[in-house]
Amino acid sequence: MDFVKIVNSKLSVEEISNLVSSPSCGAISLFVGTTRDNFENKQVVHLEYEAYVPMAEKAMKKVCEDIRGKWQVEHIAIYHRLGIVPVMEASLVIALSSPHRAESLQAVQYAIDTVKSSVPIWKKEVYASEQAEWKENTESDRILLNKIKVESSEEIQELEGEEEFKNQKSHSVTTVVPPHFIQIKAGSEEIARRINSFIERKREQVNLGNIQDFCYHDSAPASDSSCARVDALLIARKDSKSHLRVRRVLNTWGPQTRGIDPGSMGCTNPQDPVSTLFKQDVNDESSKCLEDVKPDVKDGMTGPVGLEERLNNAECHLKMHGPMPRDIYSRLKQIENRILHLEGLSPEYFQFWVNAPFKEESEVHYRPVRKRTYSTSELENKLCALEYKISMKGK
Amino acid sequence: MKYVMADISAVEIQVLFFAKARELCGKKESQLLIPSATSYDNLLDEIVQKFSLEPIRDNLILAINEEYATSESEVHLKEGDQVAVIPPLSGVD
Repeated sequence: MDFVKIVNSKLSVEEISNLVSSPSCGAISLFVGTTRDNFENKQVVHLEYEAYVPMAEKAMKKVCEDIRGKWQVEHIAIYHRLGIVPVMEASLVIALSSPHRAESLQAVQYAIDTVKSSVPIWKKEVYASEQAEWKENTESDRILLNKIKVESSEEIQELEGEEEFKNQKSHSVTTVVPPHFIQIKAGSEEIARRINSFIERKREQVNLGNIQDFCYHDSAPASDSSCARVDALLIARKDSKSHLRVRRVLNTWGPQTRGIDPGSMGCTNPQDPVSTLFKQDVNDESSKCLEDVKPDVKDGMTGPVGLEERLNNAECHLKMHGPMPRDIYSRLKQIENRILHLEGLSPEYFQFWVNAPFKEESEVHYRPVRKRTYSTSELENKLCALEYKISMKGK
Repeated sequence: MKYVMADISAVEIQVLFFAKARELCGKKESQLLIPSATSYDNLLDEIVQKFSLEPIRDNLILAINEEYATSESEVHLKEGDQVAVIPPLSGVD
């Protein structure tokens, strides 16, 4: 909300500050203009303020609009006092609230500069022993004239032959557009503001991404004000063809490293996958178990329904065409290799930073598991119970 | 330079004075009869002349119906329009 007021009585800084406070704001910036007791060695008794009130209020509201076009602020209050303002009392209070301090600080600076140069309010210095004088700001006229020229030339271009010379919120559209095509109805200033803030937001996101990718290394301190253009190092990572760190798992112990044909571990009975696993006792000295299982899965397994389709989808997505090995595990291995290859090439193939944009050094914390030792009989009981449960499910 | 425009429609506008302009002219507001289609500079001349504002003539800006105007502005006045004489702004320091 904008609180713009011209008053004739004493201004209360606290009241005005309270006007703009809001639960969602972490910062309120204040400017208070007070009467000084001297000017050029002359002693000032008090200041007298005079205003072209309707236009002054309009101009102050326009300052609020301008501020909102440049910064994200919540509430704005501009209060000016007229009449006699004694020394040390406030003649102008500007209060701005925003979620973070940067916006309100910058906006309040802009506000006081703009109010001084564009709002029709005059002050008269009344001296102790000399003739009173109307003071001028050094640049006020030039600034004002420039502002008016810029605004009026914009208007002239837009209005094109209209006689009225007032500010307009929306232009007349020269081409006829079917109404159902129009998604956003807003004034041109509002649209420009939205576009600009969108561009700024995207720029910030890209900057942040660049900083995270290129600037977080040991030799440079992490800093938000850095950017890839000035502070980028390409650090060659192991196993990676780009700057990103790639983590690979190296299985030192597994069926493939121990020479067991993975195909032989295939699912002989889709309805009861568990029994297949239990038949496979690799620590058993009798290797004839393996031979028992093997003949059923000669041609690579089809497994559960839809597996073929799922493999096809994965291969198409990764742009893998051409002949595929018949064995499912080889196919899966090829798919995995392909994924690793692409990750190593370029991060754009995959989203590395979906939820946690920057957690390079953090590892997954494993929840401590309570360990206890089971006796063999307990284990057997558990296994039987599990088998039973699954066989019940299967039926 | 005076010119008489008897046939061209003249309108009576209200002129407001502030700060130094008010002190020079002695009044806060006044009326003025002026041709409706005129240029900004003409309007300014008329006002300065009629209300003895010569000392600050170069520092004035006119606001027509609460909008700032400049010498590039086109001026079309209607009966009862409000023109404010704006001396250099000061505001708070």
